[in-house]
Amino acid sequence: MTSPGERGTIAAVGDVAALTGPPRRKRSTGMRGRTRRRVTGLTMVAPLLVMVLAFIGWPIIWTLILSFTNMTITGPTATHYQFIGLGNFRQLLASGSGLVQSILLSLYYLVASAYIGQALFGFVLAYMMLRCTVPVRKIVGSIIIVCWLVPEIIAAWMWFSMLSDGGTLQQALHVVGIPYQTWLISHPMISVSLANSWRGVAFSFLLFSAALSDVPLDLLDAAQVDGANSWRRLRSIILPLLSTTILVDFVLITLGTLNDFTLIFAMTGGGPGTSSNVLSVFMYQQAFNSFQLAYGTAIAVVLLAIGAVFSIIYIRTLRKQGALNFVR
Amino acid sequence: MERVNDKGRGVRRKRNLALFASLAVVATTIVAGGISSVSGASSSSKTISVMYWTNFDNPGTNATPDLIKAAAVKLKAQNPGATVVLEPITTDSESTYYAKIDLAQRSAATAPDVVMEDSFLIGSDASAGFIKPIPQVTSWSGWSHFPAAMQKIATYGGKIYGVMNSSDVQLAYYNTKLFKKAGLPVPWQPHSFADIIAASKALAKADPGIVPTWLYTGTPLGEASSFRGFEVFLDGTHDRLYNSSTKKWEISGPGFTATWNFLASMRKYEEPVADWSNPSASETVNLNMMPANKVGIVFDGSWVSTAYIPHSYKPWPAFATTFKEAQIPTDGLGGYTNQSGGFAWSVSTHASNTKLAVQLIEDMSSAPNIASFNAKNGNIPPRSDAVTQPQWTAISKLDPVLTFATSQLAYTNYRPNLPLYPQISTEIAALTGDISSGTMTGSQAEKAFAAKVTQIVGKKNVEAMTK
Repeated sequence: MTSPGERGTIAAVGDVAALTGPPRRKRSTGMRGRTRRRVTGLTMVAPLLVMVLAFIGWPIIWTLILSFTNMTITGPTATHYQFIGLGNFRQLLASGSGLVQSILLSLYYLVASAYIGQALFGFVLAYMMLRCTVPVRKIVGSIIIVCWLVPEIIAAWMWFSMLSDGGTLQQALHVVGIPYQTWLISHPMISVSLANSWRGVAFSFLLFSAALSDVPLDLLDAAQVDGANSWRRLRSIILPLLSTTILVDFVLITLGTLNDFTLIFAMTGGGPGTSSNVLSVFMYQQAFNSFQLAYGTAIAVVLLAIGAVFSIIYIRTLRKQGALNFVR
Repeated sequence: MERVNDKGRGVRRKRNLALFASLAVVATTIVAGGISSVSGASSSSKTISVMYWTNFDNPGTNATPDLIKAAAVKLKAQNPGATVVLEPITTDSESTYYAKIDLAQRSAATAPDVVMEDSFLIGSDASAGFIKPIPQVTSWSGWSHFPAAMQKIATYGGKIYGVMNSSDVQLAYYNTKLFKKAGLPVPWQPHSFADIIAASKALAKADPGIVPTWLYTGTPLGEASSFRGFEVFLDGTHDRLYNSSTKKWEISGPGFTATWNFLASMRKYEEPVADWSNPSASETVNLNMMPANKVGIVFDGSWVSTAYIPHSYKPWPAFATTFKEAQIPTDGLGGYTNQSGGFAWSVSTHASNTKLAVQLIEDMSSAPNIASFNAKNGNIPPRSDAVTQPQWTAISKLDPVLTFATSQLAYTNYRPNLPLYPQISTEIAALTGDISSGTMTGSQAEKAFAAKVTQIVGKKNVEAMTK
């Protein structure tokens, strides 16, 4: 397949294992040695591979299979279901199915809470912290990380009590003269996006803090001597140096946010009406509240496809940057 | 070199062994799911598990676990070695409970022996093969005390699939103080949809700070929205969801038009979206709005008043003087209408010991047990001789609404006990919400309903009513 020195192969996992132990010239042992290393490598990853196939691969395949059936939670087709081809997808694409609205809401949630609320705000926080004194950094950093440590369902209830009728925010804003309004009802998407930003900002903040601490100071000093103002230094030095970190952050928060269910379900249940019915909640409602299990899995397939599109774009960009040498 | 190679092979062999071992462990774990349960089921055939919904009970009563435990004592006395295991399920909404019991019943590994089924799901779950017929019940000495209607609710395809443990009717609770303030007559009894709209309008005019009329609506309230927010009104017209003589689903007709338009007209007089768009809406109206005189008319189940009696979970002595109850009117057809539901005990297809399971249900369905269970929850006993039991007579004295409610059984209707009803019902709930949130007009909802039902049951199985 590939020679040992070539980068970017899955078989290289075995090479890596071999590299850590024996000296480099061992590689010249030829085919037998290479096969042996490959077998060794495969053996070592096999348990993990089996787990991944059993608990991730199979459910995905099963979901795909079910999405072409008419399986329901109850009724005659609960146990005696048939394959109906693209029936569920046709129903989803028909007008009035709610799919388009759910996709748009999911994208809103992604942009507002992941890109703006977590990535952008996380970066700004990390950048500002560079200039803070150590005590400030410690205190603020701890607070941000505590938000992340709070279990999702508890975060959801905290924000529910903040934003629901008679909630803390309502009372606080009333004091400064802003009339009463129930945020969860009047602005459900802003409410859930706020909560998700609050909860998730720590992750991006930590990633960016680590990356920012690796930016060589002499480079920044030299730029400053050359007359680059702070905006210019950020744009031309820091951001390019951080581009890999930014993309990695995007990959992870995109998938986390698109698949997020708990926070929205606990805070709004997709409502009022369907005004915060993101794909994951839409999927749950169709599968378990409307008893249309297979139809729900078809929505899951759409969700999976959207996540896959984003992942492919990010991973391609990352590979172009040479940041993913180990992935074929 | 030889030795090194040998050693290498040895290590490799060990590694391969480790790989096969881990593969074997994973494979066994996956396959064993079904097997272990099957062996478990046969070895514990004297153990009866009972799955029930904890949210069904009035807060603090423990009515269901107490009922199961009381029956278990008798079962154990008659069958030495028998045990009864409680499998409580707590959910945020009714529909989640339905989904959970149905998912549990798919597999022998998770299926209970006895399950508490909402009666409207019986046909659907029977057709799915989740529950089995229990013809043995007709030989019970007390079976004749279950009225024909109560037997029929739990019958599907001519076979009995359950024994009703509770029932209810719907009532129009109205606030006498707010009615007097609005210049409306007390006692009040509407005779058409127009009468309800007129009273709501007067209430709104007299006090803009209240919700004139509470109607269950929208998806978060699930079956309640469909049952109490649409079907009970449709029952007041000539149309029905299902025509049992032609065996077709009705999708449109003058009654449907009148009902959808009634809901659209009520939009400006019913509770705002904030109040109905969460699953705990019934607590909002029953425990907060009613005692605070914030709602004029409430269309709700007959159990509501039980909350207010002494030592209940929301004691409110002034309830009897503040609220009165009206019967559910027809839409100008004269007389009254109603719709009843309730829960039943069924036996899962995977039950390991049907004989013991049925015996436990018989014990739970005795007149004293049914009387006590329904007295605690404010439901109507589905067994005629239960109303003379001391537990029931005691509660009826404290809560006269229950006696009034029982009298409404004379006008009542039942939901079509058919496999596709649950799906149609969720569509109705969604459409009531679409009307309430203003995304659909009455006629749009009417058209959408016809299209949805046709899609669910097929073109051959629908008909439009003309008269």
